[in-house]
Amino acid sequence: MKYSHIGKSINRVDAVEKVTGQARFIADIKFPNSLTVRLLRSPYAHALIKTVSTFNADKIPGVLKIVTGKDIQYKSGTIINDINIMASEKVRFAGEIIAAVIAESEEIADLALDKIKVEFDELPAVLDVYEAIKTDAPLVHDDIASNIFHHYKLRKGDMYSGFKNSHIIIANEFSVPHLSHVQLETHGCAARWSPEGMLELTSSSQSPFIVREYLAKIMKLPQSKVRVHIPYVGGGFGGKSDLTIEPLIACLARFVPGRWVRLILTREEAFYGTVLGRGMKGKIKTGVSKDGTIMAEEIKMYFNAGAYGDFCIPIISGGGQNSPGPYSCSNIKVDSYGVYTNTPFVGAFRGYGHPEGNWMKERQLDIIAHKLSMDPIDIRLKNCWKLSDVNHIGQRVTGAASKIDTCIKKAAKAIGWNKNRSHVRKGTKIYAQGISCFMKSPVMATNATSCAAVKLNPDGSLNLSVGTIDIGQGSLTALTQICAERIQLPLEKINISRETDTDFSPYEWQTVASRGTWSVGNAIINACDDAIKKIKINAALAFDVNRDDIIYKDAHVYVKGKSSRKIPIKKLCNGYTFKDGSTKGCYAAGNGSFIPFISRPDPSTGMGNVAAEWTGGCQAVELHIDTQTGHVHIDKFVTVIDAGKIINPSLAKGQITGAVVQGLGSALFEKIIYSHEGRIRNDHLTDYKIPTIKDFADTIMEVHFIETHEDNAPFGARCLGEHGIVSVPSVVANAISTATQIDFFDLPIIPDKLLSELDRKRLNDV
Amino acid sequence: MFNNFDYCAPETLIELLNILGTKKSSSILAGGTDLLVNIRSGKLKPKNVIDIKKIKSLNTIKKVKHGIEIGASVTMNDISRSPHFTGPYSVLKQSASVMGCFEIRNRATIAGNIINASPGAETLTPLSVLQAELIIQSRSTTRTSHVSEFIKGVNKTALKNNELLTSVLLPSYPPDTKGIYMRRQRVKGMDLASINCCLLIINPGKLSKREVRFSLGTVATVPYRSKKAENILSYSKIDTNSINEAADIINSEISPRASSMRATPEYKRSMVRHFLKTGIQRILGGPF
Repeated sequence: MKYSHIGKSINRVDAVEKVTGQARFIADIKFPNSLTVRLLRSPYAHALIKTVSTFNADKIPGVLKIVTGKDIQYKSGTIINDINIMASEKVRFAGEIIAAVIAESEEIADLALDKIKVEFDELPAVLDVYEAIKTDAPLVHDDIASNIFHHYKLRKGDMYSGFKNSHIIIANEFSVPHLSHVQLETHGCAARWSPEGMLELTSSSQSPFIVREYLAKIMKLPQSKVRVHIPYVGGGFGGKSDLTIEPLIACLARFVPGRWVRLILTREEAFYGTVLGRGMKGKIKTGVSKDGTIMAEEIKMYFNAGAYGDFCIPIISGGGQNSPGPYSCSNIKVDSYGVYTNTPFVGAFRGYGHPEGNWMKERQLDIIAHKLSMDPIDIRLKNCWKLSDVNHIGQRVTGAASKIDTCIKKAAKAIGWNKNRSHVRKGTKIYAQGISCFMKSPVMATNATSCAAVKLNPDGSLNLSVGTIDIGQGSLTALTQICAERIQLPLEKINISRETDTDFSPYEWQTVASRGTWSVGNAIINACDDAIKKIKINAALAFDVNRDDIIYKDAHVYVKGKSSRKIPIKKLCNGYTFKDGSTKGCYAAGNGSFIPFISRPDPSTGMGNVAAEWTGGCQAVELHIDTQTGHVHIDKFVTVIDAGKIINPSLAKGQITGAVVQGLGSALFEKIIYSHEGRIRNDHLTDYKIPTIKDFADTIMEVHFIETHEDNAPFGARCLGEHGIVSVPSVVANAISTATQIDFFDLPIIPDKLLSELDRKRLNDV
Repeated sequence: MFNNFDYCAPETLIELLNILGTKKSSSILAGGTDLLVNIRSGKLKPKNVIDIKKIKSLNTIKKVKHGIEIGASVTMNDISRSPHFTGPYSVLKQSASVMGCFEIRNRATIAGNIINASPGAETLTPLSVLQAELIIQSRSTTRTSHVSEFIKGVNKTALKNNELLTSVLLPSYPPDTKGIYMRRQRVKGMDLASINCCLLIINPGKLSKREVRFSLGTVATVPYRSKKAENILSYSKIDTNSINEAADIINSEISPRASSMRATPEYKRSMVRHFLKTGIQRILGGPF
């Protein structure tokens, strides 16, 4: 198929606005007469609040209101609603909000904040999942009998007979620490209640319609009376999805109707005052036959959800569901638990449960291959999904999901995989390669709808509106390309709305799960078709023929068989005007929606038509380790992914490369460090290290696309976004283990750990 | 949040020392790269902030009779760009040019880096091996000090409230003296040193006159020099054994903080040996 706009690396439509600083983010917006908020947060990870004394701080001129937990009766969340917007009786993590001061200025708010005194009764805190599931562990929530608040089960085949028929059985334990998203833009929100009881809110959210639905529900307002506006957003990675500070700001604004209440989080608050990512300890036991076929697998995952579990539930289920990876196995038992602890709570983070399972499974495969003296590539080729396989949740493997083997072979070729070479020493350096596969499904609600609206203008140009947010991933550009291709207009005639507003924008579930191009793209195609249908209605009137005889091509219409007389669509956008001025027909605005067909899993087996699609691939790395310093240098990193048709190769490559670099951070540097008492010690960029521009500047980054056409998708495009991060830690660790002959089970692999393991091995080897 | 404070920016040193002598609870503002961070975090709540950037005499690097004199408000980037820091003095330039990021180096000053007295301060290990003289003035007195006696602990110095560190004097050395500054960091971009050190070898070519100095950052509360280890390496042949012996001595003398988020004590001890080996190898030729 020859396309005009699809598959072309056009420049981002928002490039100039962003590089010239014109793009407007929430911190750039002046809210007239706005009030500021300062928050009093708990220094303790677990404590009863005895008293909160405000000592007339609300009498300070310029202080409008001091709000404490007792003033807010709502809880936050979208599933089990267990999140206290503000603590009233007990605090469950260090950083939890106890009081808020609403004042005319930060200086005044600080004066008031200093006056507020809280008396606590400190309770023992529990930070580790294995500690938290012990019977005598302190309970984070007293209303349930243990700290386990969610359990996802996957039961397929007969695990016991599978193990019985195995040649070897290997069991290992793994862990992934809590991480922070570190978006360039910290979270911001401003809200105002109008005198007639409408709520207006501007936020840096990825999920305006979730925010609207939630606020309307708790405030008992029709959704039409809650307006959520999203300007440009400076990075999300899942950390701005669902709800973050919006419930708090909406509740605070209610105390001062008519005034805007605005809060932009500090970097420190972005660590403990929003959501963290990952945090899992797990066990994997795998039985394989002599030839390396996976016979049975038992996986246990304990997700450290922190103090509140609501946003973690789909991560726990989705993470468990996808933990076996893109491999066939007839006998699987997965138990994935959500565990409360006294840390800040966890939410979505790029990868959404998949990197945790991948870390265990892909390391495990290398360990097994080593035991069987098999090549890591061969064990993967042997077990990976093939066309028509029934996967672990009972779905049949079709199309692009069946091309894992192609991806493995291509990745091996690109990295120059040498079967006979395990590692190479050059002086004080050891070189090695690693390989890992990945797959991800969009874990989402069963009614995760996307909508789009196109409005053809009387000059033949077009306005496109969607409810998805460009959080940096480039959706504004890719979606413009899809629209241009379908409506057959030049790109420069199309303008996509830069900001999203629930009052004007089409509905969108939320900007998560890498699904924008695929899901919103489908909605745009439907919207374009709807507009074309209206053009044809007008054209039929103009030509006085049957609508079915109208051909739409290159922004013109003509009657079938009579292409010599064409009418440009600009004459048909606003009905059709006859010579005498009379106008008939309709306005050519199109609406489209897309609802994926999925259902909930069977609660007893965890299986079912759960995943709308699977996108997978393979990553390979060549790296070297400095045995004197423990430094790991990534020489080359290859990603091969079958994401169907690629709409914009340059942006798609950018998404993968960004995900790889973020993944390298979690493989080699990143970790939230807690004090014994449960406070985050590195709640700042001085000691929470993410990769800098210099770290992988000399790494050869290759991204290869296998473009297997996906049916019922915009020009055959599938999901792409998070996928690049899923197997980065495992592929790096696989290479490090090949280099050092030491297995690593915990992330990140910092030089200190690597060097001490190397020293231990040197001593043992002597 | 910032508390209110009085700000003044005197234009002469005398004026400044007079103010320091009379106003209590004063903080000196030079580059502000530590002061502003400390005010924001609430660690410091100064009543007076005295800006020294308008005093021109504090902002110069000059060759003097017995070395080089660096004014208090000379920035890291001034040092990086200056032609004066060659030979023995190159170690200061090496350290100044990796501190923070370019923007920070445009602001951060030599005196600020010394007075902040961070255990991993970039310039303290070079100043310690160069045995720099710190010139300290008050309204009525002028005194000198060395890093070893001036730095008292983490963020603690021997500077009195009414005193200003006005300049740093680097003494002269035989011209073939060589030095090297080394550090480990977690990421390649802006990062504090997980561990840093400076090695100086005076008269590297003449065994009988060869003196080895080695200062380490982040292994103790102050820049650490082991006289015993330096003695083993000075005035005698250096080989793998003597380097290992020196490293063993240092490692037995230091007790790095176990709670550091930047490097474990075990890692720091490994790096002591690594720094000594590679530093000596790069200056004298190796391998060791």
